[in-house]
Amino acid sequence: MQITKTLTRAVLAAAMCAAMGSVHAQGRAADAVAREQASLPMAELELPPKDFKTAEEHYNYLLEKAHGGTKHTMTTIPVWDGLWGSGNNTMPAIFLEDGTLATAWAPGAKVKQGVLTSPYEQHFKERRAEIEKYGQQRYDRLTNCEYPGVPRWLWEPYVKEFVNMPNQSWMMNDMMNETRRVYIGGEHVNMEGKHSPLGDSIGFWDGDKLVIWTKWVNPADYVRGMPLTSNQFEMVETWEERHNASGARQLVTQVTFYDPVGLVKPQSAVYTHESRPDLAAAGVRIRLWECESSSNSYKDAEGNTQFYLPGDPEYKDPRGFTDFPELPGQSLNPIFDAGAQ
Amino acid sequence: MNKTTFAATAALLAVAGYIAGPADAHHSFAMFDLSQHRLVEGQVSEWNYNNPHSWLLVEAPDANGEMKTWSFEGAAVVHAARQGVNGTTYRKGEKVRVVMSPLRDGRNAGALCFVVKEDGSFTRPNDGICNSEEMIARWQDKGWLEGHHLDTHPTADE
Repeated sequence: MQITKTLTRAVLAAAMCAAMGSVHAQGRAADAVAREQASLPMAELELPPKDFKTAEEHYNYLLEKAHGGTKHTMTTIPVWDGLWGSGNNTMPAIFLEDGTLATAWAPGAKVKQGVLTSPYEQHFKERRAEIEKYGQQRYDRLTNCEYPGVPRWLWEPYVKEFVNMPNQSWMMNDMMNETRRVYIGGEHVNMEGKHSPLGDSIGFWDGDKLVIWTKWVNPADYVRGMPLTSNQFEMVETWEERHNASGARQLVTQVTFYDPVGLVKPQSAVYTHESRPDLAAAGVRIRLWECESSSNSYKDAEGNTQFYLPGDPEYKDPRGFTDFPELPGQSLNPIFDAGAQ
Repeated sequence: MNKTTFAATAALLAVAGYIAGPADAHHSFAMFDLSQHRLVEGQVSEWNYNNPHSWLLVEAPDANGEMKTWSFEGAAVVHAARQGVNGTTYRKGEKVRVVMSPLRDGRNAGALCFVVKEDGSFTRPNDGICNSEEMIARWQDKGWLEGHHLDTHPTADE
């Protein structure tokens, strides 16, 4: 009897959810996980020492304050070794009332007025209206393997590695092999005469803090569900290794976004990365992968993200393919195939 | 893994702070009907432990009883790894029971939530959109894991 009642309730609930378009269920699911991420240790936001009109002005002020920057050697430079994962950040609070990672993707968040310029605010409101209607943003540029670029790089939740050298810092994200190169003590260079997903980054050391100025970035998103950035977007970051409240290694990044096309005035946020020795212990190593060859998602005619599935003519075998299947030793997945029963 | 062992493991993971899945992923999840979960029983034909997402392919009957390839999207490599899943977790030909949120368009695919292996152990290669620990407990509590291929149940009681 109890089983019958439970089943009846379940069937009724399923019918009701289907009738409601399941928007609320989706919101709950996304919200539950994001809330957990939002609970990770957060660093305090430190605003720039004064208001600057441009990233250049901000960067040059810090450079002068650091007397041209600390000249590190390979023996003195900060070592941020190991694997790192993206942690909490305050970026959603710039654009949403009481914004956190827990509210960034979920329905119910209210757009802050007057932060974005009129066309960018209008676009952002439309994006949030879609989240209200469908439970989430239906299409994301990553669907088509478009690079997330910066500032989204700061948040992308894949695994990262950092290599500091006296003349360059490399910031490597597993996500689509996006490696940021920071040219220490250098000037901005753009011999290609165009923008790119990660732009051009220069920097200097102020003791153990790495200061970076990035420009010539492709227009993209702060992250899915958040506003667009324009092709005039620039940012100044200050990176520093600290220990969080539980004593774990943490990279803290104070960022100021400059975007005269998208933002009414510059905005600041703090991002964190958490050291992840557990991932190394589990055997995680960053491998090369190419989204174009391993992803079967696409944007359909109605603007939704969809998949090509096995049997569809457009479907790509995510393991790769060989032009020489008749030859022995050409399988791209010999370990799994050898395990056939 | 029995229910008690699973709960204890989940608690330990929660204490370690590594229980949260990724809130973001490579794409939106709006194509899935996340209000429900469906049981699919079949045999593994491919396990693509891949970025930007893993995919488990299973041979199983469709609603008309015809054998078809079912495709289930899971987490990226690093996210699956921190949930204890790696590239050798599933073997070709292995019998599995998959609980997933189906595609809204009715094709034989869905967002993977958790997988019950032939020995009864639970594996969680899911992306952040499914709270697999909560869902395993729910399916155990409701007795739904004793059900049949293509049984479908709501994600929440409301």
